[in-house]
This record gives sequence, C-alpha cells and structure tokens, in this order.
Amino acid sequence: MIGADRLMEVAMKILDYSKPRAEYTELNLYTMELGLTRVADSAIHQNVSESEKKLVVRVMKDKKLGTASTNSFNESKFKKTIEEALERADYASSIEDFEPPKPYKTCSELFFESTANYTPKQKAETVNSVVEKTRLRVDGKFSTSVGEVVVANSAGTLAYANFSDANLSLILTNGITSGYANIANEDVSKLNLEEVVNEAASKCMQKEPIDLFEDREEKYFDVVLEPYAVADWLEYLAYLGLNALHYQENESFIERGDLGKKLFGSNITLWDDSLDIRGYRMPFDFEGTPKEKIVFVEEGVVKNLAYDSFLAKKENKSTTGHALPLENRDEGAIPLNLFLEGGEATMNELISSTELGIYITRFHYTNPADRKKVVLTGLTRDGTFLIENGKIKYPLVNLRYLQSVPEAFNRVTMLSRQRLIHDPYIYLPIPRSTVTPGLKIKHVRFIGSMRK
Amino acid sequence: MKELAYKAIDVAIANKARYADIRLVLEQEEEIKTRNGIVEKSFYGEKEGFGIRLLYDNGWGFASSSLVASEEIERKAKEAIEIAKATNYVKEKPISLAPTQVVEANYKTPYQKDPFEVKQDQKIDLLLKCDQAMQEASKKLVSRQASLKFRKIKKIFASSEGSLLEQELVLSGGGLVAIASEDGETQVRSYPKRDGNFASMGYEFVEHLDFVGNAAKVAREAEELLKANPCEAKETTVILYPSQLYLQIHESIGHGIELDRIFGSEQSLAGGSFISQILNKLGSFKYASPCVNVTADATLAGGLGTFGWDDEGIPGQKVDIIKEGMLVGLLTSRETITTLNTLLGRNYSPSGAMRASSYSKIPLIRMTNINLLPGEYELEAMIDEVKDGVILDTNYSWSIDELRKNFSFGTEIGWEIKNGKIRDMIKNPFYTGQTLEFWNSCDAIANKNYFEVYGTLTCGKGLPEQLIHVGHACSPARFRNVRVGSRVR
Repeated sequence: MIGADRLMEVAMKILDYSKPRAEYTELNLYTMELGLTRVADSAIHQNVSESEKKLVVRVMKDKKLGTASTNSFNESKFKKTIEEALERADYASSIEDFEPPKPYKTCSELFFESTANYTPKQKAETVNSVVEKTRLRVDGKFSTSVGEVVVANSAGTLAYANFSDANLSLILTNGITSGYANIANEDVSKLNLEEVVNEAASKCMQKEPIDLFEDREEKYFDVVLEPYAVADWLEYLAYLGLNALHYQENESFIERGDLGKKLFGSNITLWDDSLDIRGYRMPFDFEGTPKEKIVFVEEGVVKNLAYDSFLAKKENKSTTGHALPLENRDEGAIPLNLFLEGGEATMNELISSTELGIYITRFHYTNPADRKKVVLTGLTRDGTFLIENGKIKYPLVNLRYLQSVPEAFNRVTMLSRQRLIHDPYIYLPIPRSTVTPGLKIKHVRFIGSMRK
Repeated sequence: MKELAYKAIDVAIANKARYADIRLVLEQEEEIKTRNGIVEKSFYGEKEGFGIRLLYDNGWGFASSSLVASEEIERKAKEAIEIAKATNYVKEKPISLAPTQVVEANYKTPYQKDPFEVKQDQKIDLLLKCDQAMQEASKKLVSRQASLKFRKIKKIFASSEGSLLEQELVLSGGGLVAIASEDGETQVRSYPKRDGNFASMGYEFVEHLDFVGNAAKVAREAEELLKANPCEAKETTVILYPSQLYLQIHESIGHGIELDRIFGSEQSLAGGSFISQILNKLGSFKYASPCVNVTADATLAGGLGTFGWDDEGIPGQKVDIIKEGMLVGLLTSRETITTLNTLLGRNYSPSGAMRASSYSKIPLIRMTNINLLPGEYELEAMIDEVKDGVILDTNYSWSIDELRKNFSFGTEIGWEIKNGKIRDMIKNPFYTGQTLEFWNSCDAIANKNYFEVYGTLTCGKGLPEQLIHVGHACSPARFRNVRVGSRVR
C-alpha cells in the first residue's frame, strides 16, 4: 500500500495541475495487492502475487467531459493523462445538467494488518491442513488482498479509504458428489477453517445422484436455497433491476410509477449498507458521496433505486451514493453491499418443513435470460438434493432453472438467519458483499438437467 | 526493455528456478460511446507492467507489478521464487514442459489504418451519424447506443531457454444497440452484436462494418420486435446465423477443449469438461455429425485470437479440433501437453494457446480463433429444406453447465420458417440442449460466401477472472430437433 498521506498528496497535485485547465476535475486513484493460491485435485496449481495501481481522471471543459487513465505513478504521466482527458473533452458533447456532488472529506483506515501480512507460505500451510484433514479431493482458492481508493474532485472532495479481504472457498469431492463452502472476512485471523471444511464435506453424499429429467418435461419444485444461491440472484436483481440507468431505459422490471408499489412478498426487505460491519465496508462511492443505508424494498414495497449524481439529475433526484468507478460509469449505478432481511429459522428448519422440494447450495453460470423481467437461468452445483418429508434423501444431477426473480420473491415462505456471502472472482478495488438468509421458495421453474 | 527482461531471468535462475519467463507489456486503449446523441464516454488509457512466471522444483510462482524498473523486477523475481517454494509445500506433482524452439523474432498485426491515428472527431462524427439514423428510423427507441473501442498491445516475452519475442497486436471494432419500448415491453436489437464486434485489424475494420448503413435496420427491427409473436415452445429445426452461432461454438466447443480445464485446473470456478471422461478416445470420439469441421486457428486473418506467439513462446498455429465430426485436437500448453502425451502414449505438440489478459495475470489456456469451417450449402437451399423451423440471430443470453454439456441461449430475434420460406419475425427466442446431441444434429452448413468472423473482447476464465480477446468464424448452420421456446411467458 502507498498510504493515505502520500496518495492524497498525489491526488491534490493532480487537481492543482488540472485546475487552471479545466472547469471541473474528478479522479479515482486505486492501489491493490493480491495474493491468491488456487488448488486443483488437492495440489496448488496456481500461486500468484499481483500489484496494481491506477489513476483515472475525468475533466470538464466547456461543459464537455473527457476521461483518461494511467497506471504509471509519476508526475509526467499524471500531466500527460490530464492533457489527454482535456483533449478528449474538446471533441465531446456538452453536458448541460452536470452537477458535482457535495464536497466530502474523510480518511478511513479499514484494513487489517493480519490480512496484509499473510504470506503465500501461510496460505500453503492452510491448504495443506485441509488436504490432510480430509480424504476428499480438494479444489478451491485462498486469497488475501489489500487496497486503497482515493476519490477527489476540484469542488473540494478528498476521500481516502483502505480495506482488506481474506477469502477461502472449497469444493470437496468424494468421486460421486461434491460440496461447496466459502468463508470471508476483512481480517484473515477470523477465518474459521474447520467450519468451512465441515460445511463443504457435509454435502458429499455416498449415493449416486438421481436425474429428475429423464422425461425431459419442465417441472416446478419448491426449493430451499442456501445463502450462496440467494446472493447470486440478489446481485443480478440489483444490477438489472435497481440500477437507475436500466429503469430510465425501460430495461428494469421496476417501471415508471412503480415506486411505492408492492412488487414483492411482504417478507422481502432489501437494502444496501456499506457501513454495516456485518458486510464489507466502504465509506463513500466513486464520486465521493458518503454512504448511508438505502432501503430499496421494504416489506415488499419498492422504495428506491440506485443513482449516481448524473442519473439522479435526470430525474431531479439526489444521488444515493452508488456511483461506480469512473471507467465504469456508463454501466449505471449498482448497489454492491446488499442486505436481505432474514428470519429466525435455521437451514435445517427450512428443510424439515419441506414435504417435497429441492435443496440448492449454489448456482453455476447464472445469466439473465431476460434482463427486464430478471428471468435468470443457470444450473445448480456442488450440493443439490431432493428433500422428501422434511429430510434430505438423495443427491440430484444438477438442474437448469429458468425463473423470474421478482416473481420468485413473491413466493418466499421461510427465511433463515442471515450470513455474509463474499466469493469474488473479479478482484476490483471495490469492497462488496451480500448478507442474506437462505430462502424457501414455492414453485420454481426447472427446464432440464446436466444430462437432459 | 530487453535488459529488464534479461534481468528478471537472471535473478530467477540465480535463485534456482529451473525455468522462468517474463512478459513486459504496454497497452493502450480508447473507447468512445454515445448514448441518445450525447458523447457519454470518451476514454483513453495506458497501462504498463510485467509478470514473471517461474518453475522451482515442481511448483509455479508468479509475481507481477506495474512499476517497470530494475529494482522492482529483481524484487518481484525473488517474490515469485518464494511463492513457488510455497507451492511445493503441498502435494507435489511432477511438472515437465514440452520442448520448444528458441526464437528471437517480431510480430505485428497486419493493419492499414492505425486506429489511434484516426482523429477523435472522425470517430465521434461516425457514432453521432449512427445515432441520428437510429433516431430517424424509429420513434419507439428509449435508448440509442453506439460505441468504438481500440486496443494496441505491445509486449516482449523472454524465457530462460533463450527466446525473445516482440509483438504488437492491434484490435479494433464497435457496435450499435437500439432499445425499443412500448406498453411495458422492451426489445433490444444490436449490430453486429450487443457487445460489438472486434477484429485484429486497424480502423479499416470499423469502415468495413458500415455502422451508418446498418443503424436504421437495427432501430426498425427493435421496434418491429415489439409487435412480433413470441417464439413458440416446440422441438424443431433451427438455423443459427453467425452472430449467434459464434457463441454456441465458443461455449459448447471452445471452452470444453481447454486441456487445463479437462485436467481439472478450473474446477474451483468455471468447472471442468465432459471431455475428461472420454480423453482416451481423442482422435476417435464422435463429437459432431460428419459435416462439422472445427479448427483452432491463431493465424486467421483478422481473427481476434490471432497472434504471433502465445505467452509461453509457442507459435500461433492452426490446429484441427473436430474433423468430419471426430474430436481430434485440443487447446494445450507446454505443461498440459506433456501430461497428455504421458497419459495417452502419444506425441502431440503444444497448440500455442497460453495467453494472459494483462501483464498482471498468469497465462492460461485460452481459445484462439475457434472456427466452424464452411460447408457446401447455399443459405437459400438450407432454408428451402425446412418444413417447419426457426432462424435465430444475434446472441442475447447464454449459460452452460460446469462440464459444458447442458446449454441454453437466447437470441435477440428470430424468424419462422414454414415450408421452406422465411415467414414472420419472432421475439424472445430461447433454446436449450445437450452439447453432443446438438452438434450431432447439425446437418447443413452454409458455404464460404457466408463465412463471417466474430470477435469478442470479454471471454472470461481463471481466477482472478481474465477477460481476453478471442475469435470465431462460421457460416450459418442448421440443427435438427432443438428445443426452442420463449424466454418470458
């Protein structure tokens, strides 16, 4: 890490250089150090260390915007990047209704030394203890990362935060079935290895999986979704449906006039809060708007969408603090620290109350089949079971579903306690996570299996 | 820069690495995007850095940095050694690398017009003309988007075996998107596809795509889709046009033939491949019907997966993957091909498919240009033989299981075929199937006159995920007994 003082000094120097040349300047500075150990068939096959940094600067000149970036942190490159952005602004369109967010200053130290100092050797020792502890095939990953973000602009914002992440995922396989589990924490010393091993191992049943699609006919089942599966759906729901850009382009299931309407079941309350210590923390967005809890759905009623200042201005609203990094700003505004309100039940109680249903650990290759209606498709993976008379009976051949998430969230009958889900496959300088319960949902549509 | 490369190798070998390589990379990127007549994004970025990969005993270590300086290279080479030592701590598997020729050479993407030399106002003018044409063609559009993207990647590869390779790759392309909406329904049409089309060419590829000439059609079709009937659920004959077929090839052939995936290296994220179960039948396994011939061709002119050498110094080459329906080849690396040869008692050479998406990432086995070779059919004759079926065009959605067997795709648009004639437009088409059944049901492929090259910048694989540029060329192809329906009810 470069450190708060030095990075903020760099940001101020860049703004000073840009000041006489541009009406407005905003910048994002990032640094990230990642150490990642991957395991396949109980051996480490990939072991990497990555050091990245980046400056992205956007300038406004004659009400026109230009953006440029560099990853070389020296004065001549910074100046060249500003000049490049200014030149690009020369050719851009005028933006009449641009208004920078209110000035904000902070310096938030959120990272853990324990995570920052965790070595490849320690990761290898951890992996080795998993391999030795279990007689199962081990696949997975163990990563630790630390990062810094500076968001600054010429209107007075200067915000710094650093953060850390430790993340361990396992797929254990007994040759017949496999089980998945993940644990994550900002502090690596808080990871409970035994817990994650036991959780993944508990999914490995010594029974041949049954294929429910011998007849190839589509079917509907009640499902019990573990929080991993629910988080997958929630993240797509947020990206596709709560993003104000998609709302403004009629690609969201939330249409004009839907705010205040009940579009989900009464047991659905969904919010974003990157200040809550139960999730990963980030005190401001990439425009420098301080974060606060934003409720999107309250007892089934749609209350809000996610905005950055640009999207908000189009509707004469205020930003909700969901601006993305400058280089991704054209993708709209996305809530990245979701919470779905949970219940008091355990996952076992969700199972024991189910007469006939399917237990799903997680999904694989989820993608929107229909963006507007948030119809998602994907397959189940690493722990799919048939529930009969309140008990898990058989492992199942992985199933393909095709289901509208807003529809499904009208048929939630039970919610477990919440837990943190954070298993990133893209490592961005954006601390993100989802805190969600497991859900029991009636009548979910399945259209095939891995075999049919 | 060469001195820095040699420094990395020297430090690695002095610290007892038995193999080492380094890539020094400088990448430029430009992206311009208009949305509803406004230049929403005008971006230029540069990034540089290096990645050192080395083998110590039987463990790989990799370390990268964006600080290109002698001291940092030495520090990172030593860090890679420590990482490799840690790798050896867990159960060791013997690693040996297939031999390769030691080469000192250069490669440059052939192009006519350097896209970074074309003036910004020319590019913006093109996009705004497209925007205007879309706006004039339909009043139902809620979003009009046009974009251009260019990359220039300069890289030096050096290995402890003595190879020194310099490459300059240039990628160009863009796309149009029209979103129409009425009465709570929204439809999308894009050209050439929603994320654009890209080639290893210069600005001449943008001119070749004729965005302005296609803008009105995209807008009109988005509007027409609002009134179209949904795709009827049935088992029927499907003709896939190249802007959908390219992704069918990508997902249900391309990823499954990556030998690292077949050996289980990607199990922790993207999964494996069903080919691991039939690997001993390589050369005699019936993957598809006899009319299907597929190559992995890193030499295809303009292909987005075209290059001089891969990121372990193996020459870009053309490899048969499926020959008259039989699986005969795979995408391989120096390490995996050695394991395969030992396993099967054969003598294959590495296919030159190891690539990293950035200086900071470790090379993995990636697709090059995975191409379905043309058949003999005229498109009209292919349609004429269909009593009842659908034509599906332009990918909308995709998903496939962890072993690359069960897939589902949606397309933006389709048309019914009745008694050999194209009839009404259909909306929300969605189809699903099993890889082997599907490719064995292919009974016609259009000829070379219909052969199109598609490129995508965002093929994802690995952890951390690496998005890389790959290509696919194909002509329209016909498949029997495919389950189709509507993605929404």
